[in-house]
Amino acid sequence: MESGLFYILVFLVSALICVPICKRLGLGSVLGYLLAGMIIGPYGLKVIAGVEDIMHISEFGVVLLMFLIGLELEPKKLWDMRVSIFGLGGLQVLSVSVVIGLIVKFFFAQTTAVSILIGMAFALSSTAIGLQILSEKKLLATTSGSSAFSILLFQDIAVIPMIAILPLLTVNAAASESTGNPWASVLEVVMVLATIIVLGRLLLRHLLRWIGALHLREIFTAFALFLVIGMSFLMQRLGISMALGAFMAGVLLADSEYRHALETDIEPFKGLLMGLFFISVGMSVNLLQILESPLQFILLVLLVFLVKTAVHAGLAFLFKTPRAQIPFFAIILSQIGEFAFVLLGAAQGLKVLDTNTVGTLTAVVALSMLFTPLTVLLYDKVYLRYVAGASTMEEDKIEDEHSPVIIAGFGRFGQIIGRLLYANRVKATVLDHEPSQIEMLRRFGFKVYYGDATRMDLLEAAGAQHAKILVVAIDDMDDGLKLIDSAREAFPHLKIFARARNVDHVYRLMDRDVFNFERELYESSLRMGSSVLRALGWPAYQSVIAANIFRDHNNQMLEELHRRRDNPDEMVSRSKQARDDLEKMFQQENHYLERTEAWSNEP
Amino acid sequence: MKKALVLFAHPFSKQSRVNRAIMDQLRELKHVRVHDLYEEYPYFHIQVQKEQELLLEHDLVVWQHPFYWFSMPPLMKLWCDEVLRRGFAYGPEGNKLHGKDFFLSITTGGWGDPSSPGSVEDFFPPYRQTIEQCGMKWHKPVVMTGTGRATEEQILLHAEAVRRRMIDYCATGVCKDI
Repeated sequence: MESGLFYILVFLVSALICVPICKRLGLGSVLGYLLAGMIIGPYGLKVIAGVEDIMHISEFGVVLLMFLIGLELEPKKLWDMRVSIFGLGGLQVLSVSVVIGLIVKFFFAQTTAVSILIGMAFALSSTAIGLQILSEKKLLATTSGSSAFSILLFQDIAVIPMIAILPLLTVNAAASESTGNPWASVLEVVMVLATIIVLGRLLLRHLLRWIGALHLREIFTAFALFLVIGMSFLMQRLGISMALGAFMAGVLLADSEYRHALETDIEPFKGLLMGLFFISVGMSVNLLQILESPLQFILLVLLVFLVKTAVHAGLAFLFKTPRAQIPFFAIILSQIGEFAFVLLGAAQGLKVLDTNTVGTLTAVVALSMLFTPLTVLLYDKVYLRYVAGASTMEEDKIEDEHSPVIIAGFGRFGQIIGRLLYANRVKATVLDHEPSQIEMLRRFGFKVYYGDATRMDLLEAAGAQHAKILVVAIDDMDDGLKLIDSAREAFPHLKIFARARNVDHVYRLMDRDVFNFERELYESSLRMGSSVLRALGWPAYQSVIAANIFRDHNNQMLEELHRRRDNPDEMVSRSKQARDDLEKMFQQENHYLERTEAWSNEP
Repeated sequence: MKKALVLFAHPFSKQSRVNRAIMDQLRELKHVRVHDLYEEYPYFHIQVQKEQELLLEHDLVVWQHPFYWFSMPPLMKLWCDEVLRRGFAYGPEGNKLHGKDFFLSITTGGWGDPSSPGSVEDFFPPYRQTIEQCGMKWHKPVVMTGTGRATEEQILLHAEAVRRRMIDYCATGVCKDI
């Protein structure tokens, strides 16, 4: 028997080895964790047994993830999503269950009860994997991302009635034990939920305020964890998914002022526990069983993928998802989710399924989860590069308009530039990957194209050959720098103008010899500084001059510090000196300005 | 060789045929530095120290600008107010510009019409006063009137004359009238 410490050590070491390697290879962190689990699990090196216990602990990763997502969603936003949650989600669960159920019944000759059960279980997708990939790719805000999220949310709700009707299925099966009236438990659930919402609204904030006022950070964290775990515990007691409970707790707090504090407190736990979760999924893959008849398993997983992808694509089409996003939407939910383990386990307990079938199905579920990162990878490397490159061009019809300017990123920063140019009849081609934004802008007459600007084929399609200037105004700092690097290589004639988020970003731009940058917030902050001086009674013009002097000095200092960046000591002393310099400069200038009043008196 | 500094001030220089022609003539000269104020300070924030250093490096200072409302464009005036400071250009120890040569080169659109208010020279006293207050030597201004109806040849001829005056100065150190 090994100690708990040893287990933790094994987990961490395996993750530390596998995840960075997978990430480097472009395989994504999820696959890294899964592989780590397979390696250390009972079917790999057999370092760790007792997968189920670990699974239970690691489910909190999903729980915390749902809590964080709940925090992001205000009740109003959730209400706005009701159509897609219930419409899209309901249709997804229903149609996939039916299709898979029919396949199981007629092609695998199973009983109706078993077909329904497998249909239901396989309709579910993995919240953990789906959301992890969506947030890693920053796609949660897109139409397809929010559709996928709606479906996952609905599935979490749908698990409740699914578990509730399990006993009904046993009626058809051999053994039947009656478990109370399912409607009574539904009523109970509704009552408890209502109570939680009312109490949460009334009490929770006061409680948080009180605990926040203690200024004991760890107690605040403890309370945040207590909240999430308590809620999950309650939900579990009611037979509802823990994740749903945590999600509700998140939503309850979404419009409170403690949202961000909670977010930063929970985030690190979430990441690690999610990792643990994926590891435990990897561990539960029964390699031996799979290796006995690998072809059978591969075909089964492929079948599941094909069916689900096809149905999802149909649904996306039905719900008018932008065409370019349909393929990704369709594959991201095509694995079978962790709740399938729960359903299958319960079904085994109720003797709807025998142990052997459950083993096979569990392996299929785990394999399908393992496959998801691979399909995403395939999508990125093959589909996007070779298929979509051509097709997006057709769809979006990026005609080379010979615009002299290309603006990558049309958020609050890029927009201002675009509007100024547009108003002055300077043509600009705009690339952005936020579809809702794009539709709105198109209505206003902007030429905006959907796409990832860091892809050189898209940039070329947008007319980079003929453009003079590339404005890099995308949110993500690393993406922006990546874009600059590849654009420099592919289109060296382009003059690059970049938005800089902070000083470190400025240095990295300077490293690339990009000197046409503007620090976001910087100019407006200077203006605000002037306004403050003015409000303190300074003459308006003098306040503006002060800001101008500050700007010049700061820009100069920035270049100097960039050159000394390798020498931290020197940098610190130089910036200290620069502060003194600036102060002296202001003193001189203000002294001079005060004296110039005497100008007319001087001969 | 003497060095000359041309301070050029035209807010919409693309529209000015004459000023552009003059600048084109001067830009290639080795000892002449053309300093385009509106290009340098579009936000009207003049770097005083840099401007003062420039002045110190040169022997001849030329102001080249269109005549706006009988005077100079706003940035040129701001340049005077900001750069020609007490302690630098005038007042105690304000002798940094002493002995430098100066001439004004302006262009006017409608001057020369029957309705023109007298002679352009009538409006030079403030210029001259400023220059002499700084201890610089005032030389005869170069004026081109009626730029609106000037032919290409006339413009080129004028630009060539300005250029000749600069070359002569740089070679001999004497600012000859034209």
